[in-house]
Amino acid sequence: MSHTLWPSVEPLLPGVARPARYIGGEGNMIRKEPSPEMVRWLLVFPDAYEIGLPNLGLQILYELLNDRPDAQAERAYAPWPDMGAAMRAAGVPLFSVDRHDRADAFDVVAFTFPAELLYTNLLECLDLARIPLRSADRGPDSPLVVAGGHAVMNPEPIAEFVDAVVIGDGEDAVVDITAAVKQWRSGGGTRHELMTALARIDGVYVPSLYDVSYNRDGTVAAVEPNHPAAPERVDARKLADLADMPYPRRPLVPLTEVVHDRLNVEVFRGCTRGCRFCQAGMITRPVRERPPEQIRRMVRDGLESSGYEDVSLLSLSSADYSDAEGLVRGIMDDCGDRRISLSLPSLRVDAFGVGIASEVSRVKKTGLTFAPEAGTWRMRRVVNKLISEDDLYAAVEAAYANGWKRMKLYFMIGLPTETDEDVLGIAELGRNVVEIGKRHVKGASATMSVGGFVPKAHTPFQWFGQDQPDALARKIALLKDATRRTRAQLRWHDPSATTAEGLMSRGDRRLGPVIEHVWRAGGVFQEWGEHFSLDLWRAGMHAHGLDIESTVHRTRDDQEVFPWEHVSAGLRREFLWDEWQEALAANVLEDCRWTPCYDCGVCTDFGIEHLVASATPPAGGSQGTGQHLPGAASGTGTPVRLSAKPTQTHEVATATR
Amino acid sequence: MSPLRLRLRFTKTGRVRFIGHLDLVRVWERAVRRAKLPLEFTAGYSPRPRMHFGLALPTGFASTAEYLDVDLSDHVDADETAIALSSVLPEGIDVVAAAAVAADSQSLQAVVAASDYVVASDDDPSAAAERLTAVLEAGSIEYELERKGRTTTVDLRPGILDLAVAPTREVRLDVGSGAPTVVSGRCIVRMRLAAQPRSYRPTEVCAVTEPPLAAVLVHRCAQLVGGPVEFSEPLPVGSSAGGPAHRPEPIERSGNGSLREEATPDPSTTALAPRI
Repeated sequence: MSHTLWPSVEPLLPGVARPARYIGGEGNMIRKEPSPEMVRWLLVFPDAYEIGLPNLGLQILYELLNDRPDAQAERAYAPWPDMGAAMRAAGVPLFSVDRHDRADAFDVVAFTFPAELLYTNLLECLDLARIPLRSADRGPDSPLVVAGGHAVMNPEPIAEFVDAVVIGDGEDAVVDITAAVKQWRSGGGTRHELMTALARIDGVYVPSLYDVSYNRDGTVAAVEPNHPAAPERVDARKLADLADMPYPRRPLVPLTEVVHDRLNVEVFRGCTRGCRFCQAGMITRPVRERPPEQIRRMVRDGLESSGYEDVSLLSLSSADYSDAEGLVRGIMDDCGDRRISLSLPSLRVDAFGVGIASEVSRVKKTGLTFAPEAGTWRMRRVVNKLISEDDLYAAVEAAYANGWKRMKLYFMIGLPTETDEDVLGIAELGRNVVEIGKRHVKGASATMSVGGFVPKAHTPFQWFGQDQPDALARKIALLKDATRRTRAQLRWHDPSATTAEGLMSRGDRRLGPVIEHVWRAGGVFQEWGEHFSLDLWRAGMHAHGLDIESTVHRTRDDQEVFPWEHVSAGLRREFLWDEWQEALAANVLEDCRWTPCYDCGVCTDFGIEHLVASATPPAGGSQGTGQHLPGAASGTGTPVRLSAKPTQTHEVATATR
Repeated sequence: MSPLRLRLRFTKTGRVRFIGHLDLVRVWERAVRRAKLPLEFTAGYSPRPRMHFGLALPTGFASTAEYLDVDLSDHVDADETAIALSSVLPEGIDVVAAAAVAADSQSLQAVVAASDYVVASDDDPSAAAERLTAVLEAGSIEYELERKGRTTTVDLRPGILDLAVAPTREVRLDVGSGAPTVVSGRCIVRMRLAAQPRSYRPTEVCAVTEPPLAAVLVHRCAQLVGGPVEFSEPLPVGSSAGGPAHRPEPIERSGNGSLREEATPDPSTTALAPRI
């Protein structure tokens, strides 16, 4: 029923960069022959292979579907522009890397979107696959086009291009979609009947079954179902217990260099720290920790089947895993004298986090990354990223003392209520970190990475008007001045890319033709600096009579109907609005795992709850429990305290003013 | 110095030929760990298995004659190790021979003097022979070599030890592991190129013929030590591991400047073509 395109693909490879992107054959690749009874899934990561291969979500679904008798799954990645051109010239369609089967031979072509700027690559992949770009133009033989991932929590910009969108966790939804497709296929129904069947599945949004109306001022008036099968609000799918999903069991081991090339094990999903800018933290609530025995087994088996020696414990904040120390000790015991290295990305900014990191890392300690996100305590209260300067400096001190040489600090600019003082606080933190480093390392340096803030759907900041690119550029210039002739090195993200991201993070359905405009003008791989062009987006918006200002830079009021109002991650609108107001007043909110519930809506409305692996809250200071927040009541800044050398303390304290 | 050194000969065929040399190194590091060999590790912060690769193969070339030396802390059975490694290596990479060598052996990169290649081309065989004869007859051949962004002009001629257009459209390279590798094309060219002072590439030879020869696939079938007249393989297939196999017929050294037919017909292919 299918034949490999490999003989047509192979001759193209000597002429393209990094041909190993297209060969498949990874360790633990699943070789499952499709049969007519199976629903065939092509899981597409719409970015370069080296970015997409390690994606855990895709690997989970790949293995889960292939474990089922009623499904078969293969993978594809967006061909780099040189390969895209070669494929078009040779008449080769988009193919899977597993069996090099053509994309349109699959029943379902599913895309995952971790970021909005990948949307033009959706069109590139559909076009290469010879699948009509618009849902409305697809016939009975077209594959079903599905999207998922964090970015599509506002699915509207790609609403025209996809047949269905999975909102929330994908594990159960793909099983239900498989069953629906199988049943529809055996019944010989129309495509519209398939759409209505899909709309009845929890967490599945079918855009064609909704109509959007607009106000005179161009804002959205309502998004309403046009068919009885479509619910008024699509609630996110949430997996109640990760213990039911021990995937991936056999991680894919690439033959060529990729990012995050190590054994990645998800230790928990969700985060309750309540950082107000963080879409991932908001939409993945509640916290669901994987049982420690299962994590240990997954690490053991994963190392065995992969030959990896680096393990990464993944989550939004892995040092927050309850009894993280016990888990880490257990894993190290299991591995005995094997030379493995364990890492906890998204490192918590305190000495405890660094302590764990130091204990388990057996690789060369070169750089360590922290994300204080904002330069002053006031600003961090606004965004609810409650890291005191004490925490940060203790973490940095511990890191240098444990042998790390370079610190990298992540910050955002363009945050609500931000003043120049808040921006310059970033430079101060950087200089202070360098001062601490000087006591430990000759020629110590720190890198500050600064990115423009993009407000996201389903967060308290969804009402906020994003900074103009020239305002961001001015703030970057301030920081450049303030870090001149210091060892605090500044890196920044292109403010114009921030604007384009803002367009798609809060845009509505009218963005569809704009995305198509940019793609037709050659704007693929917009995540990549060498391919990104804001001019393409400006021209696209202009061509379709749309205004960047209104979508990106306008602060909304409490009457605003959002384009994603009909999609829910469980967070009540009132909770988000209250949090927005609290943010403007610089009032903080504590971690709800260890403090009473403030009823954001997720646990109560969805009937699920936090699932923790241990009654022991994670160790550590203010970071561990959300308690003892310095300055939480008074609103004053935390004084810089550097313990070792009084003279330097004075210098640094002066510099802080 | 490690007390033991195991020399492995392996293939790189099929789709895996498109991975680069550094990728190959990584693949091998994982394989030797998964096969649980008694490895020796490098010192330093990130200890890595002590391994020594032979001549790097350019990305996209296939091979049935790649080499790797692995330092071990304990004796292993060469045959069993070859089988264990093949089972954890990706499809297309198979260990076809394994044998212990002296722990102080010189690195293969230093001692390999030449490589034999089979090149599949889309060109007409007699036209290709004509062009290759011109190459052999030339006293020197200027070639623009690009290295690290700088272009230098070098003479290719000293690197070309022998060229021959094969009498058949198909060459079977049986390394005793799995099905024989078949290289086929409209025209098959065999080349013996020097590996010192640098490793000359078949694609360079193809580029300097007039007009350039269209190489569809380049396959390395032997790395050779010794010379300048008598060459031998560091580890012939069938030595120790890999089961029954015959050695690929070497191209005998002939005087520079005359293209001749292959000296010995490959028994699995057809008889000699007429002299060209």
